[in-house]
Amino acid sequence: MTREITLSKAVNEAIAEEMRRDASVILLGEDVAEAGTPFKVLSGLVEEFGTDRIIDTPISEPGFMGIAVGAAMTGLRPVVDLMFGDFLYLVMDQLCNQAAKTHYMSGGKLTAPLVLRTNMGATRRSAAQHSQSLQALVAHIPGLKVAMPSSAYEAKGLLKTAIRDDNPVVIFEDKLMYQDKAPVPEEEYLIPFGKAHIKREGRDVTLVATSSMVQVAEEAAEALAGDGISAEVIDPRTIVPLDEQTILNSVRKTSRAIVIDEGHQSYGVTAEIAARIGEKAFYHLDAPVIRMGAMDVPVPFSPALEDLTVPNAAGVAENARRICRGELIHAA
Amino acid sequence: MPHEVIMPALGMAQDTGLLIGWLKQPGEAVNADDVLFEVETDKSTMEVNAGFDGFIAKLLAEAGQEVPVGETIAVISAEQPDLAAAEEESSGPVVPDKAAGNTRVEEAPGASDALKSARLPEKAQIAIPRSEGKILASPKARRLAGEMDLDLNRLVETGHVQPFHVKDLETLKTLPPTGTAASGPHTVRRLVAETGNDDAFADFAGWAATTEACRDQGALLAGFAAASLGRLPANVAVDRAGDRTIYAVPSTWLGQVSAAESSKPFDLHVRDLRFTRISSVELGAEDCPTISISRAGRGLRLTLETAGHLLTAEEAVNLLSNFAGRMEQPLRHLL
Repeated sequence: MTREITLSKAVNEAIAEEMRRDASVILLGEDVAEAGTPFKVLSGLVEEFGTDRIIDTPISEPGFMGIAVGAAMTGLRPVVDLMFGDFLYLVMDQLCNQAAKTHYMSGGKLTAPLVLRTNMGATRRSAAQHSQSLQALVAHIPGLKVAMPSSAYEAKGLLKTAIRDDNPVVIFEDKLMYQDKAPVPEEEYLIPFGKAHIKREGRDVTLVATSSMVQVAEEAAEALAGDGISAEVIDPRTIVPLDEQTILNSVRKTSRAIVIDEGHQSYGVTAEIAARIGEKAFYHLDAPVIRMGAMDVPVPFSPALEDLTVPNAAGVAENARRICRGELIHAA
Repeated sequence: MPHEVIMPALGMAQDTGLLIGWLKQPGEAVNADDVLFEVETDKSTMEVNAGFDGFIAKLLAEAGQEVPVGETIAVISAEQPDLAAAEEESSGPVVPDKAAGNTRVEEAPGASDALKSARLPEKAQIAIPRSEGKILASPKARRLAGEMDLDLNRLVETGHVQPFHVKDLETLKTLPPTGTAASGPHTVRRLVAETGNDDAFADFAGWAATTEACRDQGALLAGFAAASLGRLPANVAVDRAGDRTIYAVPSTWLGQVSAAESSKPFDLHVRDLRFTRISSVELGAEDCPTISISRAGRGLRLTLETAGHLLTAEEAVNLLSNFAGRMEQPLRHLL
């Protein structure tokens, strides 16, 4: 049976199911118990699992991240709630120097099976310190897996897989999508990591998009269909590991690609995926691979300006039209 | 202080300009208001002044090249440039390194020496294919062109807008083969061949008239010419004694050559001038390849004139040498 639930509810279900299944799963973070997080994602969990397993921490990200790493190394499976993705900067040492390297540096004797749940996404009028999309920052670190759900369905399936994974996993939820509904099966399901989802098939241009940008790409694909351009939309679902093969197969078919992600464009997720296409499907490309990320500026507080900084469907469609027409783009 | 000349923006929405040609060559003196080059945009062709007094130090783009607006295409120096040194520095047109611009990057002598000694010996160096002429084409278009043995230069010559994409290969396929690539449509090819004596053809014509019921020497000439071109069936116009006859040549069998309607278009033109006092012709290219037959001493002079795009150099050589061979030893035709 499938019903429509919000992304927020999907995350809540995933955690509850995994906590029921496995007593070693705990959850910790700021305002996670009675408050159920500012986005009300975790409401109701403390009633079922109690404050021993749903742990409110002091406002000290490095502190509770450190607790989680230690707990993970000694037998628990902590799910850490980092209230805003922007706070990643505060947990970098615990996450990147400790959790990511524990298994390697202990010669395989230790693992750090933890999940860091956090969010991303601009246009919520939260200003520069609460609007960043920092997935590229952690995707750069060997030893971390990075998941980017694009709907309630992916959010639930990927989170359950993340909790069961023996590696540290960072999962980014778009904070604007918490109330978006999508069909989610009642039955249990898992979504494997490193397996992209072809959201829409097409033959003229491949749109590789992550998280909220999948909706943008689908909207663009719809507009392009009206112009007779058939766009294929691919959601990698996890950017580490990346399902390179599905992307390359698609580009070999379409000969053109646009990569869309809400992180800053420079040195970003789009750059990595575009580079792999350039390296591995070079002789199949009939146009330059286009990156579309957020502008390389702090996210403005002004709503009018903030909206301009992130890719939108019209921009994606326009770029797709240009490369399909064979226009000279970024001539060297 | 050298000045850089850039591709100007002549229209509001112009991304590139097609360089038609240079009016100055490297080393030449130039005044600021001298016309330096001609450029074509989608709207117009314009002459562009040098803008600086001095000497042409470098030309960095070639005629026919589509150059992005703002790109440096020439360098004008105050001093007369040392062209030999410049040649050594960069052979062929090179787009200048933007990062370096015209700022001279000085090397510490020590560092430069160290770099030289650290270089691999000459033999170990890998030959890196340089992209000559800088054709802008997508990797896929380039790969497919290579696989299909198509020459992207042909598209450049026809003024096709770059960059080239896979869809442009369809256009490329319809263009005449690459052999004509080296010459534009205005090139005229003129080839002359001479035979030892003209008796052979006259004897053959006499024999043919008795055995094959082929009394018409014009038909024989048409058959020889068409077979020499190697594109059968063909129509050949033969001018003899002031009359033109058009012959349809279906095959190499001379008995099948027949006179066709005088309004028929023809593929080859033969001018039989053996019975005139004209010994040498240079009449220019016509709408089809033309062979003129005149006397030269005891033998014949055969002159082929054709527009470059009608026959490649190789095809022209083949046509005339085949025809000369047939005129000298007509029996070859029957073999």
